[in-house]
Amino acid sequence: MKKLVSSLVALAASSMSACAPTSPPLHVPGPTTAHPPGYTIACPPTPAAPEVRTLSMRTPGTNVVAFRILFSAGSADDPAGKEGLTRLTADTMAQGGTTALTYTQLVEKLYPLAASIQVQIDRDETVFSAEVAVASLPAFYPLLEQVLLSPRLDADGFDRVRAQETSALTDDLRGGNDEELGKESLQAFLYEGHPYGHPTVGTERGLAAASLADLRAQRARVFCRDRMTIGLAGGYPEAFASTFAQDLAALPACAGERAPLPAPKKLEGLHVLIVDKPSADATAISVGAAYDLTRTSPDFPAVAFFTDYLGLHRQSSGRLFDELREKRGLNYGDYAYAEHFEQDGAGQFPVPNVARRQGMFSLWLRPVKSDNALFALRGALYEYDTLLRHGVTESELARYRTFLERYTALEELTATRRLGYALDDQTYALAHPYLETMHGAWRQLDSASLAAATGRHLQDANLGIVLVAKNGAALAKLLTDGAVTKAPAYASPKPHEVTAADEEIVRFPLHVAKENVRVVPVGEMFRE
Amino acid sequence: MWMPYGLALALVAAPSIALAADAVAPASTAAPPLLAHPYSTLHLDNGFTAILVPFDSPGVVAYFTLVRAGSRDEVEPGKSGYAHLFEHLMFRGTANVSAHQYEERIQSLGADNNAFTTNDFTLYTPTVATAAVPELASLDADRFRNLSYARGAYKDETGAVLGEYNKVASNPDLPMAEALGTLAFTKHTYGHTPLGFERDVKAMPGAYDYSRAFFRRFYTPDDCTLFVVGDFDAAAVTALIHAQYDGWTGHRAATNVPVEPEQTAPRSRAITWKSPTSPRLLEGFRVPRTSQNLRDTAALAVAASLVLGDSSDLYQRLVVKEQKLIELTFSPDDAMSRDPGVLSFSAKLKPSTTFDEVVGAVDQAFAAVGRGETSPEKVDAVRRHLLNSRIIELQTPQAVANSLAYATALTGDPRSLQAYADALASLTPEDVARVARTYLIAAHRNVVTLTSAPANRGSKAVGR
Repeated sequence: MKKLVSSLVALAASSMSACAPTSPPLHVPGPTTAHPPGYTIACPPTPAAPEVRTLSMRTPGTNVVAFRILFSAGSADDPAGKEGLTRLTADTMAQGGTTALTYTQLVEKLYPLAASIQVQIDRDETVFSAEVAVASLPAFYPLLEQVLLSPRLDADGFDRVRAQETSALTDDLRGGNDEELGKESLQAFLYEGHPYGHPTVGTERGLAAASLADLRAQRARVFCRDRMTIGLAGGYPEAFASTFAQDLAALPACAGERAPLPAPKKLEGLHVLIVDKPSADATAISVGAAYDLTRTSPDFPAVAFFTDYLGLHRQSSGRLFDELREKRGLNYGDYAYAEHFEQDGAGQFPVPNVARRQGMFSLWLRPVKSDNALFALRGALYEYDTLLRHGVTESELARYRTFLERYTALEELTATRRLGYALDDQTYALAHPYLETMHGAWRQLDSASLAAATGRHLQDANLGIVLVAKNGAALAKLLTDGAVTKAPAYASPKPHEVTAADEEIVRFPLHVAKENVRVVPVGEMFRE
Repeated sequence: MWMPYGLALALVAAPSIALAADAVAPASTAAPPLLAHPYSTLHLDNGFTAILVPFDSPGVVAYFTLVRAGSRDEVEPGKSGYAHLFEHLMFRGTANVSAHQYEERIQSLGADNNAFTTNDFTLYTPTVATAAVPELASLDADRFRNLSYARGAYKDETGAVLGEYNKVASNPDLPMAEALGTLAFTKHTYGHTPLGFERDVKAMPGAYDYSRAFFRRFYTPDDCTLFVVGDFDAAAVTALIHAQYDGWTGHRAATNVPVEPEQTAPRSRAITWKSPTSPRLLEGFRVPRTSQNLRDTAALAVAASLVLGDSSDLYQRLVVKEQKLIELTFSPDDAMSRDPGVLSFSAKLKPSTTFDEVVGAVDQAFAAVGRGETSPEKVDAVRRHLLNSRIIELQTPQAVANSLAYATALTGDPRSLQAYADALASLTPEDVARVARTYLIAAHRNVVTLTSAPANRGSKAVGR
């Protein structure tokens, strides 16, 4: 991740009270214009005082306050053999009480406020977040402060949270959610031997090996002041932001620099991982490649435009959705992503604060009937390849740009989302807010510049493919014997354009060398 | 989209509640207003209702249409899942606008366009920029009035619906929810989830004609309510609604939803799961319908939270101190339904914990609440939790539209959103004790347990 830079305001704890807020917002993300968030307090730092990076977006008159305390720490910081330790540490901080309050006492105080302290963790970032009613702020804030500065981290909390995480891995990920299992397995496959190569929840071996002493050491190592940015939005009193920064400046400094990431392994050709799950009645499919593109690149808006056009998350506008679901009824949905994507709750938009130092392109096909799995895979690769080779016409580009500009303007309707996006802008050191950056770049795009950008970053020759399926060995044989894939037995007669495309799809080259196919029993996934 | 599988039997999410004709009198102690601005109601002659809610969301409008038909209205045997199928078919075009044209025009508006289905209703949830409202209204009114889909498109969509079933079929919450439905409801249509039974979903491709009949029954002006929430000009939107919906005709068909007999004895069912898993429990108590008694609904949410919420003695003992449970999950809104429903919770057990000790502990905790052994301070803490949850929740025009739609779906009256908050504010500890000893008792209890199939037990894959 880019080092947090100048647009972040460093607050000197000792000079807080003397600082006055500066007005003018860097910008107003999203459609909101009535309440521009008053951005940050710019104080001249006192050299000797500890500094806390702070982002504040006050909107007087609103009745909720959103906190986001972001750490540049994630599962990539797990020590080898202790996979899952960072998440275990963060979750035990939030769900284990404080030195002054047992967890029972903490929950008793939080409960009437309806304010829980949430933890979200990805490979490179962890965010502690909370939303509270303005009237609850005086009661809530000391609890949040304690959780961050003096978490209890005792054996009871550690045992409980570790049992929960182990169950989340074995019962839920491996046993109860084939879609997520496919997506996590793809990342493990693409980033084998790399710090991104295990899920945030870790591995069975890593969770079993972790000790309470490890937990405390990990907290000191990664949830320390230099890795922290504190974010605040909503209707808090004006002086509160400086109090918050001053208090959190008490967090100890970090002992060392964060380790740089190695490069992910280079894939040559198509590599397939079949997660063999005898109970899988349908097949979940994920496809992707690690690449060096992130939001820091000037090409990112173009590539994201391309993947949104190919398969915008959970919208019916994408090509993959139209071809595989709408025209052929193969499954519930089919999508494409220019960066790691996690959905926010039950909505369609991404969660903020899962920024990564290294990028990933992916396709996601929701479960298809087992008989149609290879056809759906070929169909998705065919659509991707076709779009990559032929590009997007000027008229389609103009039409989709209009859609995307308006649609993405709906992404930032809550204080916590606006705050999260602004924090991401800092992380990626964007000169302008993300949506403004994207919209501005899209307006400059034409078919040629779009094709040039995708040509620099996207390809379909070297990909990782993951299928969560039953009868793994038989599926592996089908993939490698060069056979033509059968078209599905459709429920309704199809128009010529569909059957003609099917003829091409069943023959679409899928050259997978035998040595590039691995079949792994589901019980072995993330065991170690 | 349908409702989250774990919660399929009982309505989730928003604050819904009573104030139908048979509701109790308004509470004497009012809660603070949940909405910053008053809303207006527009009744058209054809029975169509529109609720216009000003909300501080500059340039953005939620334009949600509620159809008061959900899986409870699927009364014919073999025809479960059609309310949900319709949620899909409504994107398949009309006599005037093909599916392709609809998609292109919706895209040109930049709409966030989706829908979901519950036991009691279906909600269409497009959200757009203010300037796009006239075009969206035209498209939306057209699909509600003139939906038209060919047999081929119909069959393709049934494939997507089966795909949605497959999407969740790897999660044990689905068979558990299905088992609780059939256990708690022997006659009423709450016996199936909004997704429908798998066999019925697989039979959908052959039921085109039935699907048309379903549409005519329920997609009528008197069965639909429009919620317009956000930044708009009320006079212009009022004129727009008249222009788009005045000409819509039809009346909702009567649905003979079977009445479920009173439950008089505890019931249980044990099922197995195809993968290794920790033992799981899903338990539901039969409770009265939401619109019957507003005060009781609020009191049930409080009583259940007192026993099952994160700060309850039971949760803190079983999950935190003794660590007999890995998880205990409960949503206080689960008690709300248009007909008598179930208030449910779920738990994931440590291998050494028995189902009986969990069920017994919950019974004992409810009995203590029923005997009035809860301090007024604890009742107040729960009450404040539920009210603060509402305040935090209602931050976007979509959240407001969603909450008002839930309230209307269950009670017929959007005012029940605020009335529920008022009922919470005025509850007494005795109200809470009374509902606990009346409804949250062993005779109303339904227990579903899930364990690994024998072949999976002791598998090394579980890692124990």
